[in-house]
Amino acid sequence: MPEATIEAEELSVVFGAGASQHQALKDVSLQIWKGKSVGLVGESGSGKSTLAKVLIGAVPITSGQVTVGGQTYGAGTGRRRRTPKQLQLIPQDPYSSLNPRRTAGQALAEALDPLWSRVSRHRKTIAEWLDRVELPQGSIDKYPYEFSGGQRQRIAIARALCIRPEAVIADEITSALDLSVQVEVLKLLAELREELDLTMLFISHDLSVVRHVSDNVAVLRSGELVEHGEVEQVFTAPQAEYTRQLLDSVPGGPGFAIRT
Amino acid sequence: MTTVAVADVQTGSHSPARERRLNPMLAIGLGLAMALVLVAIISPMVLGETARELTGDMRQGASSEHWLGTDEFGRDLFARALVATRLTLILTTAATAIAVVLGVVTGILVWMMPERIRNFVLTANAVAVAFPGLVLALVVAAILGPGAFSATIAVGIAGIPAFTRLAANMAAPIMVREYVGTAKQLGVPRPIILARHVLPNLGEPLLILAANSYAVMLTELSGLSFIGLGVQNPEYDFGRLLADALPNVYTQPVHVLGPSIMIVLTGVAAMFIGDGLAARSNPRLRRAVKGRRTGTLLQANESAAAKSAAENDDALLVRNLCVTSAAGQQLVKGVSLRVKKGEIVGLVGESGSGKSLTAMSAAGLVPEGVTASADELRAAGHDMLRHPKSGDLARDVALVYQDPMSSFNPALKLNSQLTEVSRVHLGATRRQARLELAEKFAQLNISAPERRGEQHPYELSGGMLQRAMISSALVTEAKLIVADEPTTALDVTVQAEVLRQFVGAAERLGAGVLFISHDLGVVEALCDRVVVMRHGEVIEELTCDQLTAEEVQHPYTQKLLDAAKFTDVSEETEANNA
Repeated sequence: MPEATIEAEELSVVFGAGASQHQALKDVSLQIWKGKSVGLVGESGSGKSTLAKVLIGAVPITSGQVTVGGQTYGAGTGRRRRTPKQLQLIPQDPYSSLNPRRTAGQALAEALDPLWSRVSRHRKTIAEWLDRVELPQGSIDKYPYEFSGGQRQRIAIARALCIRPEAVIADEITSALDLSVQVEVLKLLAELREELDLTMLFISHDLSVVRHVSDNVAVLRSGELVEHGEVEQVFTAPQAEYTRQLLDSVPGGPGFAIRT
Repeated sequence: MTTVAVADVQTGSHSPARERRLNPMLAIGLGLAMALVLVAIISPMVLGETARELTGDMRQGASSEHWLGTDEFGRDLFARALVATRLTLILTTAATAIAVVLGVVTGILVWMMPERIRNFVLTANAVAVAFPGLVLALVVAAILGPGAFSATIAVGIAGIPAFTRLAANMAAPIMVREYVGTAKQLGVPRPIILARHVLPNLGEPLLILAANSYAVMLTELSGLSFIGLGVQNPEYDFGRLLADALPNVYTQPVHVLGPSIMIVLTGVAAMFIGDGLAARSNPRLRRAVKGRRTGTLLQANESAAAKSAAENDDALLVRNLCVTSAAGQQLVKGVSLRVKKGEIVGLVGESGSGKSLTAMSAAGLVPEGVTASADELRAAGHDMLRHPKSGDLARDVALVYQDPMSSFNPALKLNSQLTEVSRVHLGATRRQARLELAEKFAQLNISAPERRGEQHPYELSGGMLQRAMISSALVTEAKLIVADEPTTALDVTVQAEVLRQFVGAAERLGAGVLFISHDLGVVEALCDRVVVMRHGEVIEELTCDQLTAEEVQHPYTQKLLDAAKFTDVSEETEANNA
């Protein structure tokens, strides 16, 4: 039996109270095995980002529990994760994920050395990582505005991976990028995952993107997990009606008949 | 694309093309301030003796010897006004420093408190902001007793709430930025996050407020000295001098001139610096300083226009469109484009290719700060280069934007927004327009069409809003619809339904549709023809059949196709799979 690096058991999250109460996640159970990648798909409001936030401890659990790197967190336990090496999040927006007043080197230095963020001490490691995500030479001393969206996303990836976490969550990391840049970033991420034997939760609203970087696919709809299975099986023989609908709506799919 | 705009707001001062030149207001302010500082340094050394010296020429008016007269002890008032600059500037600077430092520290530290305490502190601070600063200063000065020191402390304390509020409010959006979230997750302690990520991003607005507060504190300090709570004899600042001159104001009005002018000059210097900084940090104001507000559309070649003026009933005809930025950069380089009636043309390219600029310029919406020129530009039969009537244009050309949530005014009901053109420009009555709109809503498969018009935008989903937007084009029977990535902000399951409406509009109205997209899959399914743009140029024009058959010439189009295939679900793409 392989070991689950990330596990959610009957996880529920409720926001607000009284009339404005909103259940963002309903009894979601999900395992991500060590070294595997799960693609999490859903439309806006389906709760996929909420799940990511619960896993990194930014949103409190209402009921159920999550296990991250051997530690279990439930409704009562503190939200703070004390071991950043277990799970890292690569954020969605390349423009908000980097401080405009700090260089690429400083961004990575913060990950390596949270307290002092000294670039000089880790210069070699930082340069190696920036090189690894295929950024041009000399990027270490450049500010975010000097990079394109795709390059910024590479910096964010390097920052998340340079502390060698066991698992990463990639939250819509390509949705703000041009298509050809998306492809490059996805390829890079697939390579790095192979090299580092990473466990990954890849969140996207775009089924086609998920297919290339995932072993398993989970489909969320209004906070409920409607489908969870191997990538080929989900794409070729989806069990849930909703998954079929999603697959059909992609340009070129049968539900995309615009002209008739 | 929307994220770029957000980033601009956030970075404030980080753009490579950012101008570091001084604007006139800032230059005048800085010049005045420098002159005042020089006066403050030099005059006590040079004129100190004259200002102190008791002479027999008491209570004199202006003369060549004493430019502003003398006071009751025969001291030269011109010299005194200049010498007083030093003490005034020192006290005001000290008071401002107290307000800025304590205010910012409090404003940032509230972010370390639990939410409940933070809210309490911020509410209390809001009350303090509402309390008049001078009154607060008076109370503090009265408690501490009269004197320069206590007046400075009093004015400084009275200024704290404004800075606390600014710092706390500015920190709020930064605290939810993803880099702060990432830092928290990395285990960076909260105080270090505040110092490393929040404080440096507060810079410019704080500087602006500090400069403007300086002027306010100057008058407050002078006021305190004037009523005797501030600087005491034999020391003197502007306020003290003014108080001394006041008893003689009817006999020697010239005596009040010195301190009055100095107070005004110092205040104006601080205000100009503040406003100048504000103008520089706000690109809109910055451009206003330069004296140009909107982009312009020019005729490039007069004779070329006349040639084809008679013919054509195209929905859109663009010949040799060039768009140049204010910095002289060519953003669109001679694009020609044609959309026939009832035809859907896709305009494809990646960010920065100039596709949106081309389409918006064609619709007569040249963005601020750029200049567009063309040999010929006709939209829905209107010659755009000859200033068509805006009413006709509003009727014949419809625009559909990327983000439906931000293209509607959230405060108004859909009815009043979507029937504006037919009411204002076509003379329809309110009731007529409403019925017509409900009818179109029904045609576009919007559920409960008669109720929708009475709703506010937030009550509808994104897909429904986008269809409502298209329905307004149907109401006015637009001849040209320009759609800028209308489905990228929508969920995939509603995308096809929205796209179908464009086909319907093209068929039913015979309207031409210019459809901007980065998604070749969408374009292939929707459009009759495809125009591919890169670096401001049209590099290829294809029919949709050619695109489907992959009969493309240009390597860039091929690259786009490959990228589209990589993420295409309907095809087997193992070969591309890295």
